[in-house]
Amino acid sequence: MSITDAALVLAWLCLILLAFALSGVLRQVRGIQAELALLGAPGRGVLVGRTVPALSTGTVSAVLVIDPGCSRCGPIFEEFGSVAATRGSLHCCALSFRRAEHWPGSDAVPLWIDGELYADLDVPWSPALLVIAPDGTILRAAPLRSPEDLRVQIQQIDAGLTGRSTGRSTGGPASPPHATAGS
Amino acid sequence: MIILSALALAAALLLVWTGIEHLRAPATSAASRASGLLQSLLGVLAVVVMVHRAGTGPEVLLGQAALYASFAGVLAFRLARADRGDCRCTRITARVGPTGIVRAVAAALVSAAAAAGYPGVVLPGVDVTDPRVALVLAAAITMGTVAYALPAALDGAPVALRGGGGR
Repeated sequence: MSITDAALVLAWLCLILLAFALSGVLRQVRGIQAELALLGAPGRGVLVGRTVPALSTGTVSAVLVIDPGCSRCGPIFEEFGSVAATRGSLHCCALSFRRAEHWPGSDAVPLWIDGELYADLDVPWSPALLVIAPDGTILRAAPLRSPEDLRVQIQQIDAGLTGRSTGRSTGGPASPPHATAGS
Repeated sequence: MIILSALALAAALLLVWTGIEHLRAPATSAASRASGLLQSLLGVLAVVVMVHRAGTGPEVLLGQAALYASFAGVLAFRLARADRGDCRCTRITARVGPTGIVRAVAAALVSAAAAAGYPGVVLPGVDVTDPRVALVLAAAITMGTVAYALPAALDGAPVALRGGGGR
């Protein structure tokens, strides 16, 4: 074999190896891009409109979804307790997958620990407030930025409930400003 | 023989490089250090016998083949046990997978073939202006570099390094 033939064969070998390496790298880049797209999406599944029988209480309820690793969840949970104690029209509870030591106890807002339900809901924000219809359908899902934000949202929900009970066409809690946020 | 020389030299350079990496790794075990020392010594000896004709050339190249064969065996055993962790082949973490095994088997085969063809695979000196020497060196360095990164590129990251599914 002449040196030119050998060079040609070696060059092809190098090219084939490089092509394999490049295809592998591109496949990994595509995988990372897909994972990043999932991380950046507002939610992995549509929340509003989903019926979750486990959340059904027979009345309209507000569920605060909290996470032990989130720093805002404690103060918002505390605020939710005080807000819920003054409002009798709404059934309130908090949902998490694990209890955190710094969370306050509240008689008005029972803390519901259910890792399976938490994972199944896959709420993209923490903390988040869900409004649940009597049959367990999620009417509203929105992130909570602060205790004040929670108060504003509870007022909106109350206004919706009042509007619905008096026959006004406000749309009620079924069509709040954040109604599409979970999609 | 030029092609076999380039492939065997690439395997030897890969052995030297990965051996040095094992030695330089900050948190390695004594076994890993011993393996790194053996790899780098055997790799250096293989490079030397590829450049200068020596009576022990076939034995050194057979030793290189045996070392690569043992790597392939260990990786195949780990893959059969569904171990998807880091293969610890190079500093670039790569999952235990078929590419690492194929690379080790291919390196073992070319090393064994070079041992069988010795001293025909020995380079005619180290004069890089000689086209034959330049070709073998360039091809060995290129293929060694690509072979170094190939398992990480094709087999992917070890399972422990991938996203744990948390937000």
